[in-house]
Amino acid sequence: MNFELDKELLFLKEMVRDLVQEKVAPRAAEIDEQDEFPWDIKEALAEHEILAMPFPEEYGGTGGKVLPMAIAIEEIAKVSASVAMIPSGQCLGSVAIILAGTEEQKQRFLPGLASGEKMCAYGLTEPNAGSDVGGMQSTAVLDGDEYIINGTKRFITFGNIADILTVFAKVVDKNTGEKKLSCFAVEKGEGLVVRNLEHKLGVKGTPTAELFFDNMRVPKENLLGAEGDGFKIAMQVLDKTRSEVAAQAIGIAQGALDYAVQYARDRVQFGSPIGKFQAIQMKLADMEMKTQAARYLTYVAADKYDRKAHDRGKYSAMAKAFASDAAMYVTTEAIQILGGYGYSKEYPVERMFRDAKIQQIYEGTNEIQRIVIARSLLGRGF
Amino acid sequence: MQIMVCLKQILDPELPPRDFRLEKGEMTPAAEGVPLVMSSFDQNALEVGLQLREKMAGATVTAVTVGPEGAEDVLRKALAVKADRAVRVPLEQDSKLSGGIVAGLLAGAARELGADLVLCGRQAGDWDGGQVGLILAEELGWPGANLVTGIEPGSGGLVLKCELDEGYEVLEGNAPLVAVVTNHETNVLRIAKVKDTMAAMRKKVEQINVAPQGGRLELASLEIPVKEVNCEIIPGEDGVEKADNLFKRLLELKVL
Repeated sequence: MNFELDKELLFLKEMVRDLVQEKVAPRAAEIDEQDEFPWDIKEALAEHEILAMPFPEEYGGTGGKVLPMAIAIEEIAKVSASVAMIPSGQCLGSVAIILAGTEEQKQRFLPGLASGEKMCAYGLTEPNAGSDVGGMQSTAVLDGDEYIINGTKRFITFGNIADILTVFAKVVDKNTGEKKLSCFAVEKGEGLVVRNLEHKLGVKGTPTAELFFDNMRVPKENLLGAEGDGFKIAMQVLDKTRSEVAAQAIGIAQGALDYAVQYARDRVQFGSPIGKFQAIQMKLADMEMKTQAARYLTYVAADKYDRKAHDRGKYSAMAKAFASDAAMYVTTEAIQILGGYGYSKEYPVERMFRDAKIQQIYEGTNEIQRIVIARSLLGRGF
Repeated sequence: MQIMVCLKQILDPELPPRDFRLEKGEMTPAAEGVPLVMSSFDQNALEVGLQLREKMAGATVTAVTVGPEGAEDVLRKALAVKADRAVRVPLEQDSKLSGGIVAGLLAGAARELGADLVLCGRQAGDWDGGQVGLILAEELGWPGANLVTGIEPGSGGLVLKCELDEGYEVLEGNAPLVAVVTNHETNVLRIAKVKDTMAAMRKKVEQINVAPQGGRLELASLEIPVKEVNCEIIPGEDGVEKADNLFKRLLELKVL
C-alpha cells in the first residue's frame, strides 16, 4: 500500500502551482476586494485545460477523473478559493449531463463546456428547499414537444454567467397530478429572469444568482435521464462533487497554515520568534494534523469515486464534512496566531477564514453529510 | 532544423537557507526531500527553442540533460511544453563536474542527434559557472553567440538578438551554431496544459551514452561559509574625532 501520489499527479500538481503563481496569486486579494468575476483568470483556466478536467476525453476533456481534479482545485484554493470555484462550478453544473445525458445530449453540450467557451451552473436549491431537496416547488409540465418550467432557484453559483443550467423541477402529470422530480439541461432564453444575489461573507468574485422561471419552454429532448430520475441524479452529482469541495477546503486550510507557519517564524515577541512558544506550537501541530487527515480522507474519497467503489458516497460525505470543518478550524487558528494582523485585510488569512465558512454549507450542509454517514452505518430505516 | 536544448536539474534556488543541507565531507548538498527544478536560464533557452520551432516548418526541439535517472524530471517538464524528444546522457554525479566535461558530453549528444542549433542557459542556477555553452561551441567547432534573448529565422539563416549592457545587438548566422541564452520578458517559459502534462509522464525518454572526457577539476572540499558579524560603535564628539578614532581602530585591527 502506497499513500503517495503517483508521479503523474505530482507533475500535474506542480503544473497547476506554476499556473496559480503566475496568474492567480497576483489577483487573489483584488478579486476578493472587487467582488467581480475574474474573466481573465477563467480564460487562463480554459487555456490550460483546467476547465476541461471534469470531462471525458471524447468530449474534449482531459479524462473526468475526480482525483486529478481534486489535486488541481486544492492547489488553486491555497491561493484563492474564489478561483478554485470556477472549475468546481463547471464540474457541478455539468455532471448531470455526463452521468445521465444521452450521447446526443453529451455531444451537444459537453465540448463547449470542456473548452471553457461556455459556462454552466447547477440549479437545485430553492428559497424553501435547501437541505430538503424533496420539498422543491419548481414544476415542469409537458406541452407537446416542450416542458414548461415554472419556479424559483436561489443561491445558484454562476447562475448569472452560465450559458447552460442543469435545473431540477417536478414534472406534473396533467391528468393524475403526480409529481416526479426530474432534471433538465436548460439553455438560457426567454422565460428565464436572472437576478444577482451579492454581498456574501466570502468567496467574493463568484457571482451567486436567483433564477425565476416564468413559463419557460424547454425542448423535450433536454430532459436528462427519465422523468422521476431527478433525486437520484442530484445525489449522484453530489457524490462526485463533494470531494471537490473537500479539496477546496484543504487548499484553504493549507494556504492559511503556510501563512501561519511563516508568521510564527518571523514574528518576534518577548525577544523570540513566536514559533518558539509552545502555545503557538500546539496550535500549529493541531492545524497540521487536521489538514493532513483531511487531505488523505479527500484523496481516498476521490480515488474511491474514480474506482466506482460501493461506499464512495459515504467517503465523499466524510471528506466534505471533515475537510470543511478542518478548514474552519485552521483558518480561525491562523487568525489567532497572527493576532491583530490576522484580523486585518492587510493579510490573507481573514479572507481564507471567510472563504472557509461556505465550505461547511454548500453542496450539502455538514449536518446533512453527517446524516448520510450515520445512515451508512445504521442502514435503511434510520 | 534540429534544435537541441540543454537542460540542467538543480536544487530549487528558492529553497530557504534553513532547508539547505550539506553534510560534512559531502561534495553535493543533500537533495532528498527538497524540490529539484529546471535551471532558470535553461527554461529561457527552452522557450527560445519552442518559439523558433513555431516559426520554422519542420523544425524539432530535443531536450537533453546530463545526469542520473532522477534528472529525467526536467525532460518531462520539457515534454509537457511539447518538446518533440527527450534525451538523457546518463551520468552518476557524485560531485561538481567541470564545465568542460559537461560540454564534452553534450557535444557528444549533439553529434549523435545531428543537431543544427544548440541552445544553453547562460549559467546554471546552482554553481553559476557559466562555462558550458561556449566550451560546447568550441568542442563542436561551431560559432557561439552569447547572451541571446531570442532567435528568428532570417532570409539567409538565423537572426539572433543579444543583450548588451545598454541596448542589444543583432547577429546573423547560419546553423550549425550554439546560442547561450539569457532571460528576457519575451522568453519566460510557457506553462503547460493539463493533457500535455499528464501525457509527458508516459512519453519515452531516450538515452545516449557518451564517455566523459577531458581534464577534470576535482572538487576538494565544500562547506557552507560561517558568517560572523560584529558591530562596534566608534565614539567621538564630531565627525573629525570619529574619523580619527576609526582610523586608529582600523590600524589596531590591521585592516589598514
